[in-house]
Amino acid sequence: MTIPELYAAIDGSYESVKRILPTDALVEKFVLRIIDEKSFERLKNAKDSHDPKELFEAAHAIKGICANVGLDKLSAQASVVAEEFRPQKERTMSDAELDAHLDQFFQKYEATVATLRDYIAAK
Amino acid sequence: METESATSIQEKKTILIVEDNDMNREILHDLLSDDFNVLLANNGLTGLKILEENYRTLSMILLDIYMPECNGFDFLERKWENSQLRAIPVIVMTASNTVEDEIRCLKLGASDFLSKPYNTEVMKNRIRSLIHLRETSSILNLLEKDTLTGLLSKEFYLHQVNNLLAKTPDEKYDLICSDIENFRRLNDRYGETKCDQFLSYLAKRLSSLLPDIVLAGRVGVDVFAFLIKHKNGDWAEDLLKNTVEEDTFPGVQLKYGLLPLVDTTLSATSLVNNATSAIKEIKGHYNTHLAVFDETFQKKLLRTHLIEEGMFDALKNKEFKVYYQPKHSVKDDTIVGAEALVRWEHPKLGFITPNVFIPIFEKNGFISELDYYVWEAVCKEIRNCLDIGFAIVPISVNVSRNDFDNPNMAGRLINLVDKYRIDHSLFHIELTESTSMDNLESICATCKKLHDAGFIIELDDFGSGYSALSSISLLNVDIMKLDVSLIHNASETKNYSLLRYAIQLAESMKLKTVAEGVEIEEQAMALRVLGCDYIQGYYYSKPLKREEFEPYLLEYESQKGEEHFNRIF
Repeated sequence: MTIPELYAAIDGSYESVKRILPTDALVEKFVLRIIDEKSFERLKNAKDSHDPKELFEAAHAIKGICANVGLDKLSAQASVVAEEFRPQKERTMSDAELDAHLDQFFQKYEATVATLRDYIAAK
Repeated sequence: METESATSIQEKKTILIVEDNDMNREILHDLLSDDFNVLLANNGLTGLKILEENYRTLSMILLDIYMPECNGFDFLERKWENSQLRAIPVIVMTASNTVEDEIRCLKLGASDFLSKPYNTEVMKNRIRSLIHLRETSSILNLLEKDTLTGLLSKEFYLHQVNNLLAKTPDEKYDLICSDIENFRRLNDRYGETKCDQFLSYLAKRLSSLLPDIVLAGRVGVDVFAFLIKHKNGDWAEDLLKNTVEEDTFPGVQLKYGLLPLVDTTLSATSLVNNATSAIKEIKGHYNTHLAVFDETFQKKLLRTHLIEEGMFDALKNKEFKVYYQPKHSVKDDTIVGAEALVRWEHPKLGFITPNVFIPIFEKNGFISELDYYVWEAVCKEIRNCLDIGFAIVPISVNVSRNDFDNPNMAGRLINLVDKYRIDHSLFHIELTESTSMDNLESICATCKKLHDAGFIIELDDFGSGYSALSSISLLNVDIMKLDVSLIHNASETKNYSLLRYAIQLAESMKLKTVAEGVEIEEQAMALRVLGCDYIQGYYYSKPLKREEFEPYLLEYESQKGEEHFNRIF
């Protein structure tokens, strides 16, 4: 599987990531790091505890990380959470709406991770 | 090949990346390390530490905003506080794009922004152009040495001292500052070139003279600071006595401030300030060239600070109290006048005598306000006595040299006394002898104005300093007050010749004499024999509060009758 094919499979933007990481080697190195990136774990824990500061920081970090590796949709979903919990800003979503949004986010994340693992296995 | 790669590394600019997220940090490192030497910090605190250690070689900083503990805002704030670090440009990396954050960063000195996700080419070009801009526009910031003297420049010196003290807090250091007395006047007299030559010479001279210099800098136009390894004992006094040979620069006088065992927790700026504040204390003292900032000095400084801090409130809260010390006729003991003296009941420091606060007020100019306050209190008191029907005596007030120099002072005083409808002859003005020494012309003018308006002028403290006889004849003085030192010296040594001479001098000039500080019978007797006219001192009475002074007047009135109120004049 080539890197552009991988990006099609994980619903990422190869075009975006190439603006940041000029070689496929770099793209591969960093996109695979998503699998073990601790911020996702942190967001999951924050979702359970509903700690607004944790939610903001974790979501904010994920937003940046995903954007760096061209996972624009995941980045956008994380951004919604970050904005919801930005300090000194009022919330706009109900808890139920937020939970639904996060479930959707993690579903997409798990799917991405599964594809990335398949990619490694196939190498 | 090795040498080639070494050269290329040298040519690379060094940048610092402060980013908490491991992956982002690594991406930036991978993207930028081909073009730059990259230093990495995973939070603001580490970033500050790396910055402090590498600021001289660091060309710019890439900074993330949201980090735990010390975030990007804190980082910028702390960096801004240090003038050496301030000059290094920062690009803030942000994924949030909120205007508030960006404004806050700009206010804290950030130069530019990069939005995440960054476009690598854009990022590299922004970094390059920012480094270029900084290097071409701030050559001055890079100056480490003062070109004239070869000592460290002020900013750099202070930074180096701060760094050193932070790194070696247990080491013992002394700080010495040198200062040239009346440097501006020397500049006018000799011209800039000659003065520059002298500064350059002096820097070299002190650099070779002082022991174990660790850091030397030029911290003011004519102020040098030397941090040296601590040396015990009074070595500095003699060493610095004749730093400069007489013919090097005729008329030059050097002053030194020594701060032994510097407090390594203080900033370099406060240390230098302390040393120069010690120098200020000996400015104008011809025979003193060294001031030591020791515990006594610090206490004095603290007290001065408390006094200056409290003086305006003191005036408002009426903490200054006017006391009246009676003056008596030597001939028949009658009360002939009183001197108004001021005391301060300070809420924290307690009772403060005027010889502590008056010199401070004379320096900072507050004396004019205090004088006016006393004058008005005296006017009120005289008015009150007149209204009640006491046979009031003339009361003398002190007028500081600052006021005598002021051409408006006479008018102000006349207006005040007239406001209370007081006969001018009831209001005496004491002019200290030292006042009459400088600026004689304007003082004569003020004196004449007051004298012509009917005020009585008393020349205070005669014999305390260098008495300039010529100035006495020029001033319209009516009364000569013999300084307390004349009386005390005479009674201690049993030698009254100087006192006799002073009284004869006054007589020959048709001036009345008042002896101050008379405490015992023997002194009063001697003064009577020598022909002194009036006596003021504990022999008759201590300074009295207003509530005590009025009964004192009454007592004399009732004991001796109206005729005893022989006013002076």
